Amino acid sequence: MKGRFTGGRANLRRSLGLHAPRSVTARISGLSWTIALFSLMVFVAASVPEQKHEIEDNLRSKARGIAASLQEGLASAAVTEDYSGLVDQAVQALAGDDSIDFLAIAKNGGFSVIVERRGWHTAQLGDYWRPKQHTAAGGIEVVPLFGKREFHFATPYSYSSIPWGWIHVGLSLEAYDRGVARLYRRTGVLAVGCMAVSLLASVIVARRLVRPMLRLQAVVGRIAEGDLSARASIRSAQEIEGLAQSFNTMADSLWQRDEILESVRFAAQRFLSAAAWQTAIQEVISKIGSAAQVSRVFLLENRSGPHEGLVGTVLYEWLQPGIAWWTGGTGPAESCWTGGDWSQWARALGRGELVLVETGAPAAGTQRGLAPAARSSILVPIDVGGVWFGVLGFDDCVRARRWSDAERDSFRSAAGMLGAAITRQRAQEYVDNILRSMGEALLVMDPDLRIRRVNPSALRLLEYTEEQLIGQHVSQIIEGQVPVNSIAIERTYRTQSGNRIPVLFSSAELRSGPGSLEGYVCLAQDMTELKRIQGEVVRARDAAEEANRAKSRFLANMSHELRTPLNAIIGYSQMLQEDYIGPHQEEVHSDLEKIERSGHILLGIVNDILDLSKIEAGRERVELQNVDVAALLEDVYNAVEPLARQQGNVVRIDCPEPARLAYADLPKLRQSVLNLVNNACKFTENGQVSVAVRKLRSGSGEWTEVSVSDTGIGIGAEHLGKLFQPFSQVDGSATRKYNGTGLGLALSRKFCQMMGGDITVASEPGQGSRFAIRVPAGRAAPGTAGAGV
Amino acid sequence: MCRILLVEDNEMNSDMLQKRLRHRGFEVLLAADGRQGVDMARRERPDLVLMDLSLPEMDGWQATRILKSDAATCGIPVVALTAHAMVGDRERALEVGCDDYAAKPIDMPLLLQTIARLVAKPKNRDRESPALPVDPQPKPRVCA
Repeated sequence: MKGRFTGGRANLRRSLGLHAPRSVTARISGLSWTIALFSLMVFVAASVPEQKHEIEDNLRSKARGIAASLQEGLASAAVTEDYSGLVDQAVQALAGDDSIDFLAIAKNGGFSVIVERRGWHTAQLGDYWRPKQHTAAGGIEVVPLFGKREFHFATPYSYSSIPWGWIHVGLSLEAYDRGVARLYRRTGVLAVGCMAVSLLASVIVARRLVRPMLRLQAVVGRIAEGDLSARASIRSAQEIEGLAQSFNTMADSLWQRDEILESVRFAAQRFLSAAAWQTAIQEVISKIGSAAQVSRVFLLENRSGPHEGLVGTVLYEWLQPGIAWWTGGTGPAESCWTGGDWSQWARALGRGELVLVETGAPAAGTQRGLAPAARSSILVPIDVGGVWFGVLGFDDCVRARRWSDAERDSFRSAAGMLGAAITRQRAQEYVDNILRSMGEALLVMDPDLRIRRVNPSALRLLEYTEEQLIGQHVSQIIEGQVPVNSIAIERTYRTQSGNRIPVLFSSAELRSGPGSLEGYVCLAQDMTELKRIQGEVVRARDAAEEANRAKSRFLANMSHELRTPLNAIIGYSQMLQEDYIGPHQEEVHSDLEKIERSGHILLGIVNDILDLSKIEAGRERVELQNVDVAALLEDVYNAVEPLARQQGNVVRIDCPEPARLAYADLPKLRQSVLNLVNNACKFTENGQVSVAVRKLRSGSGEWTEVSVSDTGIGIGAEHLGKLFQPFSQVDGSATRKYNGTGLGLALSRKFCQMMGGDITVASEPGQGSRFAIRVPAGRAAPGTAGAGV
Repeated sequence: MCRILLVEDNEMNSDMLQKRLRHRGFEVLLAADGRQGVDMARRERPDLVLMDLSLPEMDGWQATRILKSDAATCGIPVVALTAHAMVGDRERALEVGCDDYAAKPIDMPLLLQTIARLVAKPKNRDRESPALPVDPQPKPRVCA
């Protein structure tokens, strides 16, 4: 309603010529009509007063005639002063002519004779009747004596050249008014007729002038509304026809551009919707080719070297009818353009630039293939992920043409979209390949936990087909809660056949941007085999641990059981040594001492075994503190002194002041050093045992090194490696000769390692040995002891 | 005369140790398990208790704890006798209230020194007394 109303109002306005811009027709017709009207008015304005004047002139000459006829009678009256004849003459004149209203003779002195229709009379008349200007004159005016409009003519009368008076003639204006009215009427009728005719003529002319423009306007309107096929066919004035032709040319190029744009849009749509660009490309190039009206469109996959030219495979081709194939229409064809401009063009394409050929001449250089020479070409490089993939080429084999900006831009867009499609597809394939090759089962779910994507591993694991799984809720295959954002937790998957599969499960939210949850990705690794192995490992470990515990228990029990009677043996032999007084006292004492020493040796072995087993069971602990190595060495010296003396060895101890503090477990360090010195004394006869302490700085910090060198039998290289293994005295005979089980070095090394240090050895048979204990050097601030290992 | 209560379940060890102590002029009372040891300590009020730690009925740890928590017996010095110088045993022994400990096999001169030192002290000494001035470590063993 409203629309119609406003439309109506607009029409009204237009018809009234208000506000709305006037049409060309209205303007032209209005203008020509106005000109006609103006001419008419000029004509009327010029002719009407003239005709009125003519009528007045007629009255004037008539009045002059009447006045002249009165002059004869007036001459005698002037002489005789008898006016009767004059009056008679005047009365007769009045009677003879209806148009005479009055006649008056005015003497200069004022005496006047007035004859009118009612009769005649005399009167003394004023200055009006005796004008100063002494000439004959007449005009239309209101005469004072009668009080009405008259044609009043006055002429002076002279008697014998002496001004005597005036003759006044009053003519009725009836005939004059009638004539004037007739004149106006005629002129008016004529003017109206002329106006009508000129209006009609101007409208007709204007219409004829404007009609081709209107037709053009209609065509423009159709084009504006999107009908690019509309064309103007106008036979009219030269100018208009020229305009129409230009317009048609413009519409042609618009149409073509529109077609090209449409084809590019089509390309975009097809590339976006097609699963593979290969399925869309033929359709796309044929559409673009027809739109751009070229002879050939081709897609060439580049295999050019840097300086060769354009070499590659024409993968797809589209041709206008009548243009020969390159590919033969059977599939990809090798192409090779080299030399001439081709190298340069190929380089330009490699840089991502368009190559335009507009010369009309076939390209110089060698061309191999079936193609007829193109007269104009445009080669657009295709970029796939920053690499020059190939060329989208457009040839015109018929005519040389200039490629418009629109064509260039559109072709570039098409090539860009193709490149993007290839890139996308490759990226997709890349991801697909990764997903396919993954051993883990991958599920992608939407925010509602419905499965959207799976990989082959998942299908294998779950025994479903892809169609069965897509769209299913994830609870169908995962037992229990599905945790989001979890890493490597254990879950159970359920296969189609109902098998429960333990999996190592990870999941993460899938977000395309902040706040927009797209779904979840779940990765699961089949743990069936792992679980089985894990179970075996656990069982094996448990068994091993149990065995080890049993061993430790056995060792602990055994050492306890062994030690208790040993204590008694040692204790009683000591007691007897203290107390026995009697026969063979010397000999008995000596034997008791042997019993006691053997007991101590056996006890040492038992204790070593127990220590070692405790270390292996992880039950042994160290208590680290600052240890005075000098004091420790004194204890050691006291302990080995009897053995050294017995072996004939000299023991030398060198402990400089700066090196005397170590950070270690006192009893264990003492035991380790004692063990080394004891060994040195044991395996050296009549030689020298040197104990040297020094401070070392290496890598991670400061160390205290206690080295024990001897001049003893030495150790062969083949035995050095096994030296620190339990029960590994260099050879069996040594056990018998030198006593001991070979546990000491193994135990010492374990102790040193627990204290953060180690024992190293350097030796050659016959050259003696050098064992070195290394433990962390003492700390500046004492009292920070107590760290367990 | 100094009276020593020896709590030891192993007959041979008990016999050997009591003989050696008697030979040195101590009066030795014997108990075969922890419970008996506690009873005898309460009854006899010895000057010192030698407490084996692994005992039947009630082990040496607990027996010591009981003795030390009883006002009547807490003043009696207790020396723990351990089978083997295990790291931690010394601390544990001192923790439950032992005044010192001696590792088996008994180093007789060292034990006598310890006894002499503990018995010479006033009976109602402070339990929280500072560490002993003499290193109670057993004599280092000679390893083969």
